[in-house]
Amino acid sequence: MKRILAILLIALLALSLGGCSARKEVDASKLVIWHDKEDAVVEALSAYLAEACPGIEVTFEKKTSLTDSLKLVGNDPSAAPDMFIFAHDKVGVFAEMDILAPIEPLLAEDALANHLPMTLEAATYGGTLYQLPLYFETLLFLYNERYMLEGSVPATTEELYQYMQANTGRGRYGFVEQHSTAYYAAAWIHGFGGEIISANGEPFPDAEAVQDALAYHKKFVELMPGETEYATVNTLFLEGKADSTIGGPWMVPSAREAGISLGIAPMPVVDETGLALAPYSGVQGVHVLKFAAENKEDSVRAVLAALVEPEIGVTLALASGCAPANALCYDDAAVAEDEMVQAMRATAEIAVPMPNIPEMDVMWTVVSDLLTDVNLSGRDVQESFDDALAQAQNLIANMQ
Amino acid sequence: MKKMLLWMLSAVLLLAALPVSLAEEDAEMVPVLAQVPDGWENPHLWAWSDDGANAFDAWPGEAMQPLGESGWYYAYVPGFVQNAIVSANDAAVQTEGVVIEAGKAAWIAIADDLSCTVSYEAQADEAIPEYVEMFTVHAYVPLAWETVNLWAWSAPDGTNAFEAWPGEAMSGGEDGWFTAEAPAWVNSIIVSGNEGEAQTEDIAIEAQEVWVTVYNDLTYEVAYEDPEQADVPDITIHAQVPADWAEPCCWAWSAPDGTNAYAAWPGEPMAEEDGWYTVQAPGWINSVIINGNEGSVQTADLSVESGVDVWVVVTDAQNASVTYEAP
Repeated sequence: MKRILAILLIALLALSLGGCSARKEVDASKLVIWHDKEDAVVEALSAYLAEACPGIEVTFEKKTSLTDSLKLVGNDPSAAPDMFIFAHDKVGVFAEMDILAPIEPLLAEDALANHLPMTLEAATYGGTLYQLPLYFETLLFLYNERYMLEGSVPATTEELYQYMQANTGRGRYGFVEQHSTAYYAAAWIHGFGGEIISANGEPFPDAEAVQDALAYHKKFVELMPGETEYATVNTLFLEGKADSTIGGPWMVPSAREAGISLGIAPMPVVDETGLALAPYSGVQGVHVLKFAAENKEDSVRAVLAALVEPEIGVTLALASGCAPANALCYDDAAVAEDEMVQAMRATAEIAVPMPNIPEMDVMWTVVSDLLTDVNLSGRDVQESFDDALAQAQNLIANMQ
Repeated sequence: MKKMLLWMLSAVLLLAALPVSLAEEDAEMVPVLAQVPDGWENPHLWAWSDDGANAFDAWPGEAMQPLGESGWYYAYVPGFVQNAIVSANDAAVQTEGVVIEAGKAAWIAIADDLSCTVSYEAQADEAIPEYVEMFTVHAYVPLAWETVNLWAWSAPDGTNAFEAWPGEAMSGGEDGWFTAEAPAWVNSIIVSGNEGEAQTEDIAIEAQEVWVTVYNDLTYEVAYEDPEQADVPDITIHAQVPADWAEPCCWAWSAPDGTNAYAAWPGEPMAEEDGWYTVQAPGWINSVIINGNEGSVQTADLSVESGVDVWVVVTDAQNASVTYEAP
């Protein structure tokens, strides 16, 4: 009996010692930042922080499925990063998981005074700022200057439609976009004053506006290719087979490389509403995990303080064409000369931040199905919309 | 001495044979003429030898030119041609294959019932214009141009290839490209639209097949390779498939034009290497389907970026992920 007790005691000790040895010592001078960004952005950030925070060892780790990985390890300090850089639209999901630290207590007072309001709005969930915005992306109206001549660039959607009618045929298109993809169709819905989902999670809060947008948009879709994929739209524009498109800033380098004489214009205004097509904006920024905020506060504060400065925004704009979140960056002479960055700055005035509430996750699928029904299957708008609304309400109810 | 004579004889024989082989390289051209039924517009000639050598690159072949006011049309073919088809109205009407003697000017009279009578005696008084080597000019023009013409000349002497401005009507255009022939001695062209209402400036060219892209602002680009088939490096498509998908194949194409990378479904077999099935595909494709079991199971159409290697992980027929780095 004594022998059994002794064995049990030794086993218990071994287990507890094992547990101690598995726990990592917290080295507050080291920070790990996960990201999914292109090399140019990370190289600029890394070089800047090495100079701005010489006492802190910052390691950037690229994750292709960053959000999935975070969902798995977000509450495990031994596996999770200290911070991560990602778009703002997952803020709600991670805030609900209770793994994010509020950002404002980690910043000096008034540190965000110069940030564009749109970027702060995007990064706020439930009244709390959970991301330090670095830069943002919006869709742009891009055109080939050798086909869409000065004076033909449409100021309104009806002008765009007339241009498409006159310039579509023989395998050419006056205008192409990913017409049946929710991210792109959102601009048309916003142009009619509608929303895909409200801030409090109500799907299609203005039903009539969404239906009007879908019905109006259909005539444009009829003058575009049936395929709505990125590769199709991208190929048509880059090969000079489409005169204009609505695309992201990521298309700009490849268009210039393809020898396209690229023009960037303001989004056309919907004649019926007087509102411009208003694309979603995605705000890229730094999120801090709770464990790091509590255990490495000084280092986290130092890094955030460095990243809030306009210098890094200017560096990113010049290195990778990013549109900085800090408005002071646009005063820089080199940034002021960058047509694409300035166009995104202008679009920020009308752009709508992608909803960051968890319910938005189901709306991507719902809207995609709705667009397929209306644009590609030719179903009735009202009937398709009713189905989509019911599907959305059902899926959101299941999330509760 | 005998050996030396033998060598000399061999050398003479070799020299005698040389002009024959050179002549074969530089094929003799002979005219083929056709008299077509009423309602046949814009006749074309397709021609080939009995051993299957085609005279022209693509159906319906060479556009035939009117022989004055005679009602006959003519086109030149290489001397090896032994068979011909005459078509018209964008190949909506055509004859059967007509047998003709190689190396002779052939006159083909086509009756309303499409029966053909071949003669080797001249059937019209007009002299057949001498053969002039031609090359093809392709033009991609503004959509507002409903008709397209080619004007061509030799600079600096100013000899014109066509009788009157705006020159030769260019045909085709369904895919945006219009085509016309110009004599090989020209070195300058103008492409114009809507009967000469709009035109490029003078374009200096080399006398070889040429592609001219004319933009809406009337600026232009000249290329001597088909821009639609630009030299894009091949890419590698990697795939992982469910265990019960035997002998996976890749089907790939370019959307929306629908140009396929492989000749027939289910496409190119994929080779296994380090846990991945791989296949080479042209860099211009932007859509793929991975399939298995001789095409009886397959993914949906998968959109991919052109010009970059791609990794496809197929979970089942409905689910597949696409990345541009090895996952």
